[in-house]
Order: sequence, then structure tokens, then C-alpha cells
Amino acid sequence: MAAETLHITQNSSLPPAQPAYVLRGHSAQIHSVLFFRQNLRLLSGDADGWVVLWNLPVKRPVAVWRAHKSSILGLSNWGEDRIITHGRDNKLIVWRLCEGDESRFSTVLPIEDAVTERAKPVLLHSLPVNALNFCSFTKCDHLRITNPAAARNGAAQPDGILTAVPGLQDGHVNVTALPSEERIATIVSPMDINTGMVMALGLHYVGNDLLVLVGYENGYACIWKQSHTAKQWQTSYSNKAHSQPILSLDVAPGLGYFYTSSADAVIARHPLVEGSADTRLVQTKHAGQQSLTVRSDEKIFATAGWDGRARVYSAKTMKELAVLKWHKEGCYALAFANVDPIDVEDGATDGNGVVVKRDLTVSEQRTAKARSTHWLAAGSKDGKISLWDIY
Amino acid sequence: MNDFLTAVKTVQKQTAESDPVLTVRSSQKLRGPHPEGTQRNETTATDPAGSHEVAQASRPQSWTSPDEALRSLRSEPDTNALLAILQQLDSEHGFDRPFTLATPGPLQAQIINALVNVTIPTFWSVLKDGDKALLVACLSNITGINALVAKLRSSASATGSQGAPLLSDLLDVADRLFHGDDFVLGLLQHLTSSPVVDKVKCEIVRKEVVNVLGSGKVVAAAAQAEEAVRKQDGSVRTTSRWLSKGSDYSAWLGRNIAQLVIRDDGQADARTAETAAQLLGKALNMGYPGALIQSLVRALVSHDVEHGSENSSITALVKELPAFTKRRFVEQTLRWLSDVVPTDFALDKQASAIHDKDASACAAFVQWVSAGDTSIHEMICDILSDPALTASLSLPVRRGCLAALSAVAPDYLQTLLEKTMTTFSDRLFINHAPTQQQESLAQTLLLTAGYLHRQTPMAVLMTARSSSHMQGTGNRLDASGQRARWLGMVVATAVSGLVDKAGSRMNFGVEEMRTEEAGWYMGLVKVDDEVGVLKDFDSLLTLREYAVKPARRVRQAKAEPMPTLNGKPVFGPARPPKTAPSQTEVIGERVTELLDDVDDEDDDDLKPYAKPDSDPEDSDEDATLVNRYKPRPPVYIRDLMTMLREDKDHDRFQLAIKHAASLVRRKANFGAEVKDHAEELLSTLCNLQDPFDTEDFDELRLQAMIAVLLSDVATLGPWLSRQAFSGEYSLAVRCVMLTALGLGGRELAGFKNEDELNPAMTNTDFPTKRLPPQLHAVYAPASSSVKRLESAAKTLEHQLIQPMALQAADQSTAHLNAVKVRTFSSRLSTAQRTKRKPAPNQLAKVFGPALFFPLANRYQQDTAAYGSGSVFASAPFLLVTFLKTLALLLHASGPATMGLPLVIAEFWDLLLSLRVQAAGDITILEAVLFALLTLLEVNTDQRRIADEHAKQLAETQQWVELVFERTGGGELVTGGSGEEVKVRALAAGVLVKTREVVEAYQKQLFGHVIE
Repeated sequence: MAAETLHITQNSSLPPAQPAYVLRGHSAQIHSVLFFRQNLRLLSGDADGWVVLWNLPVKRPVAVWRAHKSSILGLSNWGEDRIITHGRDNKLIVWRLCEGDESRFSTVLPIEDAVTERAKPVLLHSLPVNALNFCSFTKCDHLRITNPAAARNGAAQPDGILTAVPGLQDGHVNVTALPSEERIATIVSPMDINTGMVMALGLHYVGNDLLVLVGYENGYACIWKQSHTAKQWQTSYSNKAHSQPILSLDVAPGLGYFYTSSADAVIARHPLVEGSADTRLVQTKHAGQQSLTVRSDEKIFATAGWDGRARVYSAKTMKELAVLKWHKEGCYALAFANVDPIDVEDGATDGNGVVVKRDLTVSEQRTAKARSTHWLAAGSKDGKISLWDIY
Repeated sequence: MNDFLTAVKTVQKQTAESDPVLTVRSSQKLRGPHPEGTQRNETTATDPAGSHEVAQASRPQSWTSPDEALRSLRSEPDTNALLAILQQLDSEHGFDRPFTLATPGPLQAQIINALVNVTIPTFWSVLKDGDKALLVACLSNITGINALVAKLRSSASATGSQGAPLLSDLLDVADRLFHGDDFVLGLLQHLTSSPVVDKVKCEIVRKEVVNVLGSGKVVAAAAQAEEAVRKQDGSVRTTSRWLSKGSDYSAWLGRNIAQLVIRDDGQADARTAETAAQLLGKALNMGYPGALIQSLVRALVSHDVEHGSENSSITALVKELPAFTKRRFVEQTLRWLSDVVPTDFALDKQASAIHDKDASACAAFVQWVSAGDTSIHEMICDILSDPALTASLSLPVRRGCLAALSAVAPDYLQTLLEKTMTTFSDRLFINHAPTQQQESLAQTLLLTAGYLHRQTPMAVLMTARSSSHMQGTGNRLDASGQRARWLGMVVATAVSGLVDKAGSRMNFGVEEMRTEEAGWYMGLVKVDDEVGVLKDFDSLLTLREYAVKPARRVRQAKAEPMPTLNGKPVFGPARPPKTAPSQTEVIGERVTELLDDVDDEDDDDLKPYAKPDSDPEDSDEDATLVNRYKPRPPVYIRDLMTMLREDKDHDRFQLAIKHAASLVRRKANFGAEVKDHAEELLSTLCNLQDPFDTEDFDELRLQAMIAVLLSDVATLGPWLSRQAFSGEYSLAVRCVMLTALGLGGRELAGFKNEDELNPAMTNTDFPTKRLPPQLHAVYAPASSSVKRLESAAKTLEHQLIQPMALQAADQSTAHLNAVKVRTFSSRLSTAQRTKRKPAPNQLAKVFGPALFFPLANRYQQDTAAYGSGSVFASAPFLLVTFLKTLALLLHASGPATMGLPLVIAEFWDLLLSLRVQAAGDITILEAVLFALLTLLEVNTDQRRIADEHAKQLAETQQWVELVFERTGGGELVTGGSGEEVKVRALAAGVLVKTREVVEAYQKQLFGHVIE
């Protein structure tokens, strides 16, 4: 036992992590980054409303356009071809950008020319939303029970998506279905507490129940749930874990937790189902951690810190595993590449299949590598995105 | 060539052999054909054949008597003749009567003297190696040694650059002479084997040899000579010759003594061992016993091990030693041994095994040394019972000694035990002896008890039951020192463990007695070392010789990561005993802690990355107060300037302005950093706005400006003076500039302390007397900027007026002089004497060109150009500041100012030209009067004033009288405003001063007639 422990302690620390790549393309601070299309593309949005689509295998931009007049608040993808952007110009826009169309777009980065308007992708939806504060929208696949038979089988089919944005009034949340643009729910702030503004949002299905996770300005984190009988939204969980406004939250459904980070130095882990576990707080002593993201394998999560360091934590123990220091200025955005084992295996078998027949071309090797690497992207105030190969 | 060589050789040999004279007295062959001789022939053979033949031919065949040889030596022989003489002298053959250099005598002395004083200086450097050996062989006797040492000494003390080659030659000779481990043996053998056998002479020679070699004379002479050579060469010390190093020489001597002992065949009337013993006794006093004994013992031991002789070589030596020397020898030997086998607290098995081996080797050695002499046992017993000595011996050595004692002389053990017990129980010893002594004595005691108990248990029992032991234990328990008490408990427990039955053993039952160290002490009574064989000791020595350092290092390395394991308290400072839970359990705890954590939340094998180079934690618990980008104080002038221009970041600007003065002062004499940027920096400071409402901004700026100004007054003084008049500056800034000039000048003059270290007068105004801040800012815009100048001026004014007032008071009460114990003036003068410290007045040198003239000229230019439109004319406040600055500077610069007359003339004219303006504004009036007062005060040469400035003096007097009358003539005498009273005082002061001048001048004119 002692020997084993010794072994662990001896090898306990890897050398300090270094960024593998740094993408310099934005002149304004990066507000959001997103991996999609099986990690082959990275989308980044900055404070001037510019969005850059990066080809990850070659680390070059493939599409640059100005999605919003004002700061980008959030980015998401809807399938392989649709991109959702949320800007402070009070718009939530869905763009269609197929891989084949990429050649049409400008690749001149905002850092080189931030004035000239560029060709934009096809605009599918443009929703007027409230964007008074910096709260980003959130989305999830919409499980609608279309036919009773399927419902009986328990196999609800995803149909469209749901998006949640802060409502017009402080503390309100609007949930809208796309593509129908139908308002699903409006959640008002709890009656008894002055929660302040909505700071972070999350949507998650437990079974067939939609949970709306809300982080408020006063540090409260709540789970809203629609009661079956009254069709009314009620808080099923409420906890004031933070002394400062919540900055971000993310769900680890497999573990049954969601995590919140705030402007103070605490990171909190809340149970998704009331009473299933205790709320756990970790005092990190590093205030201002934003853009908390749980990796798809739910082993680790990471935050982008205002002190310019991205921090990686173990999802189970909430211990700090790595401090990624490269940026000189504060980091606001963070994203993990999808490391879903199935995806990776698929890619691997594909690759193997090809290997049997013929050697991979250089570009195919690159693609395979980009797809399988466990990337972590951190976007900073200085307009740079660092890519780290972590765990 | 080969043929030729062989031919010459044969010729040589033939001549040598066929020489009838050489063979005439002795049937022995010539002692010539040692290798050097052959070599010599070979080398000379390379000479052209002709000259060689000539040399051969011209060589005198031989010398029939030593006197003849001496004569030849003195009569400048050529090389070959010299070599022949040397050869004959060395061989001792061919003389008409038996003659040897080995014994001292008048003729020998003369010959040696000639060799040392004539031959060596002349020939040494040109002789070949073999010939040198021959010459050295002739010196290898007591006469030669003495002569050489004396020559070395005299040459070294006779300084002179030409002596260096001779000295190094002599050193070379000495090096060759004292060569080899059998040098002394050779000397003695030569002596005894010489044909002149005279017992008395032999004895004398022996004594002489012992004296010369054993006393360190040789080392001293060699070192002196070497130093002299070095001094004369001017070269630095690189490596010393072994001869001049005491330790090396001692080692050499030790080897020689060993050779004497080893080669002592016993046949030559047994004097060799005696000589060796005498030499050893002498050499022990030389100060390097370690080196001596090491080489001696090493040689003897290895000899004995190799030859396995039963009668050990050292016995012969030790037997000859006188008792005192013997004791010294034993003591030093044991000490040296302690260095060889140092104490190591052996807690683990492996180390203790090494320890046991060391101890048994030591025992073998001790037995070997003491084999032939039982008195040594007593000495060892003595040494072991002496706490100071026993402390200086390492534990293996003591163990060895005891093992040897118990094997050879068990009778001493009881005495030893009693002695140590007595010392150990002694109250004085307990309370005052160093811990180290106490510990080592306790160890010795326990070891002795153990050995004794195995031989005669009864003896230990008696000692244990004795009242002295009981009393001693009591004393120990009473002791205040924790360590002493603990040792007492350990000893009592251990002894009781030996003699008492299992049930009735002493047990203190305290935690301290259960430590590992206590266990170790208890174990000492069980130590029973075997007496090894000498071979072990030999191999031990060999091992230590080659591996002493690495071995130690390894041991240290082992010790460091586990400091708790390494109990070295024997030679270390006393440490409270550690409690029983030992190292392994600590590890265990740590393990469980980790495991706990792991068990608690099964982590998924994610190895954490190391932290990056910097990951500071938040400065504040409260997230709203965390400041991540702390600006750092500037360290370069460039940084300072950019930070001063900062108008967005509050902290940066504050830091810059706060550190400006100190930074500039720090860097003022450091490279050209300040100088290069001085003007730019000063201009930045002049133009500096305060965008952040900094506290004390004016003060800080002023300090910074003074700092910059002082970095180079000669150029910046005029520059700043120019700025004060030109440029688009506000009145406040101009005032600041003038203030900076004034205060800077004062600092230069040594008034630094008064101005800077007493910034206590800030905000002395009563708050209610001040306008609301915004109004205050409007109406008194520059008040803060000249605050410091004002205060300085006020102090100065006070200083100037006060003595006069006091004097006046003194005089006005002259009728009371009888009852005055001490006059005011005398008190004042003492006060001044103590207050005024002589600081170098740097200002006096530069005042004129750097400060006064730029300012005065600029002012005149300004008024000439703009007339009443000048800011100085329109703003009296500025003019006042200007005048006060000048006055302050002048005062600071003092009477020693360079070019004072010119300054005085200029200043006086300036002041007189201001009379009109002064009439219109009381502040100007005050300033002018103040300046006049300063002017008169500074100028100590009153006669010159009267001579050269008679007109100004008269005008001044006239005008000031007018002022005095007018301010005093009205209704303002007493009830007037403060300013008016002040003006009147100043005017009076000026009047007094002018009258003083006049009086002084009159005195000069009429002598002392008036009095």
C-alpha cells in the first residue's frame, strides 16, 4: 500500500502544461469559443461581434463575418450546419453554414481588417431577445412527445431545439423552441428573494422533465421544473452558494450534478435531483472564474479565470488538476473538444480502415489528429485563443 | 655516434680504474659508478671531442688530503675539477688519512662552507642532474644540513632582488637533500659506518640531527626563503614546496622515523630506535601531530602487516619514549584515530556493523601499540576517564580502547569505572560541563560497566550499590539541565539493568526513556567488541585514506532526507529526546491520509499538472477588492516618465509620483540615466497635472523636482531659473519652481534635515480659520506650493532677528548685569555651537553661476522686457517668493560663497530697485527687508561693505529708517496687524545691522580710541 502511494506521489505531477497552439485573429476580447463538427471546426466570437470559424486541422480561418453589431454573448451549434449566435444587439441569430459553402466566405481576420463587411451565411432565424447583461443563451435538444407510442416506448425523439434567454424583466427567463420560434415558457424570479438579474442559464432533461437551471446575480442557483399538474414552473432546488453573481454554469448529467462558478472564488457543485447529493463548495482562492465547462466525458471541467489562467478541475473531487497559464490578460471563454469515446472510436476505425487500404494522406492524418485530440480552447481579453492538449 | 660514445665510456672507465692514486689506499672500488655518474659521462660526451679531451687532460688526478681538496674548492675550480673533488669527498677514499664529512669537525665545516657559499651559487644552475646529486650527497650530513639552513636563512633575510636566483637554487638543493623516507636513516648509517668511530661525536651528531630536523628549523627556513623568492619575483603564491609546509614536513618526518624503526636491525648498538624516539618526541611538538602520526603509524602498520613479525616494530619505538612523550604520543594517536573513524550514530544494522568492525580494528591497533608497554594501558585508562579527553575521542576509538583493555589489562577496568562514575556523579561536572563531555563520559561509563560486568559482575554490583553511585544518580536527577538529567536516568537504568534482577530493575517510567536514543545508550552495556587483527586496521586505514570524503558525503546524503533518523546528539547540540513514535509510523500516517482521500472520492487517475511558474492567490478574500494588475514602482527613469504621463491608471500615477523623488535620488549617481533625461523629466514634472487628486501632490512633486535638480545643479539650476520666468506656467507652478530652487539649494548647503525631516508644519492652520476647500483653492492657489519655502524663510528670519533682540534685551537691562547669572548672548552662543554642525557646503561653490545669476538676470530681463506687464510685477506673491528664494539661498550659501562680492553687489542693487514696489505692498516690503537682513548677515566682511558698497549702505540705511518710522510712526505700533509688526522688527534688524557695519568701519578708522 505504501509502495503504491509512493508510486503515485512520485509521478504525481506532470510538467506544467503549455499551450499547443495560439490562434491570433481577433482584435477584441474573445467572449465565446465552441468546438463543433467533430472537433474539426472551432468557432470564436469577440466583443465587436465578429465571428471566426477556424479549420482546426490546419488552424486557419475558413469563414469570418460580423454576426452582430455588438458584443457576442454566446455561440452554439445546431447540428452540423447551423450556428446560433447571441449578441448584445438583442438578437439571437441562427445561421446556416454548410461545409461545402465555406469557400464562399472571407478569411481575412478581424485583426487585419475589422471594418469591411463580409459575406454572411444564410440567416435562418433572427429572434429579438433581451441582452441587457452578459448572460448568454443556452440551448438543448427539444424532446417533444410526438406520438403516444413512442412515448410509451420511452424513446422521445429530438425535434428541434430549445433555447433559453433572460427575459425582459430582471430575473425572468424565456424558453423558446426552434425552429417553431414558439415561446415554451416564461419563468419569473422567485417571489421571496430578490435574485437580481439572470447571469447564467442551463437546460437539461431528466427523463421527460425539462429542468431550467438559472444562476442569479445575488449568487443563487435554482432549478426550475414544471409541475405536472399545474403546468406551473416551480423551483425544485435553490441554493445560495456564492457571495457574488454567478458567471457560468454547466451540467454533468452522468454524474447528476451541475457546477456553478461566480465572481467570487467559490466553485459549487449542485445536485440535479433534489436531495440526491449535498451541495459542495470549493474555495479556490482565485476570484472571477467564468465560462465553466464540463467535458463531454464528465471527468474534468474547466474555468476561464480573470487572472489570465484557465483552471482544470476533476469533476468528481473538484480538485484543481491544472493551471493553464499563458495569457497575460483575463480569460473569458473556454471550450472543450468533444472527447466522446464513440466519436473517437468511429474516427479511429475509419482511420484504420483507410490504413488497411492505403496510407493516410497528410491532410487526412491532420484531420484524424484534430478530431481525436483532447483540446481545450481558452479565449482571452487580448483576443487570442490558446489551444491546450489536456488529458 | 654510438661507437664514439662507447669509446669515450671505455676510456673513462679505464682511466678511473687504472688511476693508481685512487686505488692506493683502498681495495674497494670507487663509489663512482652510480647511475648518475654514467649519465654525466654520456652527457659530457656530447661535447666536441677535442674539448673533452682537453678537460680530461687538464683535470688534476686526485687530492691527497682534504685540505688540498678544500684549497682546490676555494681556488675557483672548473666544472670537471669540482666534480672530481666532490666525487672524492663523497667516496671518502683517496685521502692520506681517514676523513668523512659525516662527522662534524673544523675541516668538514670549512669544506661544507665552501660548498654552500661558493660552489652552490656558482655552479648549481649549470650542473647536470647527476652532478647535482653528487653535490647534494656531499651535503647529506649534519654539517651540510646546518650550513644549508643557515644559508637559507641569511639569504632570505638579506633582501635584494639579486638574491632570488640564489634562494631558489638553495631551495632546490634543500628539496633534493631532504629527499626520501630513509634520509635520517641514511644520515645515521653513514655516521656509524664511517671510519671515524667516535662514540662521543656520534652522540653529538645524533642530538644535533634530532634538534635540527625535529624542531621545525628546516620548515621555517624554507618557508622564509620561499616567501622571499616570491616577494622578489613579484609572483603570486601558487603551490608551496612540501618542505615549507609544516604538515607535509611532519609527514615526511613521520615516514623517516618509521624507516628508522623498521630498518633498525638491532646490531648497531640499538641507538637508532632511541634516536627515532627522540625525534618523535621533538616532532610531536612541532604542531602537526596528526600528519606526523598518520605517516608514522601508517608505515609501521603496513610494515608489520606485510612482514607479520611477532615483535612489533612500534614496541621498540614506544619503549624508548620517555613517559611524558609516551603519554603525548598515545593521546595524539588516539585523537588521530578519532579523525580516521569518526563517531556515527549507528541506528540501522548496516551502519552498526561497520561500527563494530571499526571498533574491533581500533582495538587491534590499541593492542598493537600497547603490546610492549603496560604503562600505556594506564595512560589509556587515564585518558578515558578524563571527560575532556574522552569527549575528543570518537566512539569507535573508545570502544576499541576498552576492548583492548579488557582483553589485555582487565584490572584497569574497575579503576576506570570508578573514576568515570565519580566524575559523572560530580555535582560540579553535572552542572557545568558541556553536554558533549557528559554524553561521551556516559558512553564510556556504560561501555566500561558492560566490559567489567562480563568479567567480574561483583565489581559492578559493588559500584552500583556504592553510595557514590546513589548520590550521583540523585545529583543527576536534581540537575536543572534536561540532558544531564536524562543521561543520569539512562546510566542509572542501564547499570541497574546489569546488576539487578528482572523484577527490581530501576525504571523511571517516563516517556523520555523510551526513545530510540535511550535504547541505544542502554545497548552500550552490551557492547562487546572483539579485538581484531592488525590487518583489519591496515585495511581500514587504506579504505579511509582513499574513501574518506565520498564515504562521508554518502552518509550525509542519507541523513538529510530523514533528519529524525539521524541522531547525532553526541557531537551536536543537546536536543530533547524524541518520543517513541518513530519514522515509520509517520510515513504510515501520511499514507493513510492520502489513501483516505483517494478512497473518499475515487479519482479517475488524472495526474495533476504542475503549477505554472506563477499562480498567485487572490490578494483579498472579498472578490470585489481583488486587484489583479498591481502596478510596480518604477525602477528606471524612463518608466518613471511614462508613468508620470499616465492619465488613466490611478495606481500607476500614484506610484510614479510617490517614488519619483527616491528613485531619482537613488539613480542620481548611477550611470547617466538621470542625467540623460534630467531636463525632460524636470519639464515633465513642471508640466505635471494631477488628474487623480493625489494626496500631497504638490509636496511630492516638489520633492521630485528637488531630487532632479540636485542631480545636476550646474545645468539644471539655470534651466529651471529660465523656466520660472518664461514658458506658459501658472503662478503656482512658478512658485513651485522657485521653491524647488530654494530648497534644493538649501539641501545642497547642508540644511537638508531642517527642511525635509521636519515636514510637521503641514496643516498647522486651525481648520476653522481656513476657507472651504474650493474657495481656498481659488484664493490661495499657491499657498501650498510655497509652504515649505515660507516655513524655511520664517525659521531663518527668526534665527536672524532673535540674537539681535536678545542682545537688545540684554543691553536694555544692563543695570541688572550683576544679578544675571548667565547672559542671553552666552546662552545663545552655546546653543548655536551645539546646533550648527559642519556640513560641506556644496552650494557655496555653485550658488553664483548655477542659481543666483540665472534667477537675478532673468528677473531683470523680464522686468526690462515687460515692465509692469511682467507676471512678477503684477503678482506680488510671485515676487515675494522670488525674493525669499534668493535670500534663503544666499543665506544657505553663506559667507564662503564663491564670488560673494559680485553676488552681493548684484543682489543689493536688485533689492534697492524694488523700493518703489515695496512701498505699495507690505508683503514685498517684508521680503525686501528680509533679503536685506540676510544680505548683511551673510556678508561678514564689514569693512569691505563699507568700502565698496558705501552708497548702497547709505541708501539702505536711509530707506529703512524711513520704513521703520512710517510703520512705527502711525497708530500701528502695538495694535497693528501681525505683518506690520513683523516688518517693523525686520526693519529694526536691518538698521541694527547697518549700524554694526558703520560702527565696525569707524572702529577701523579710529582704532579703539572711541572705546
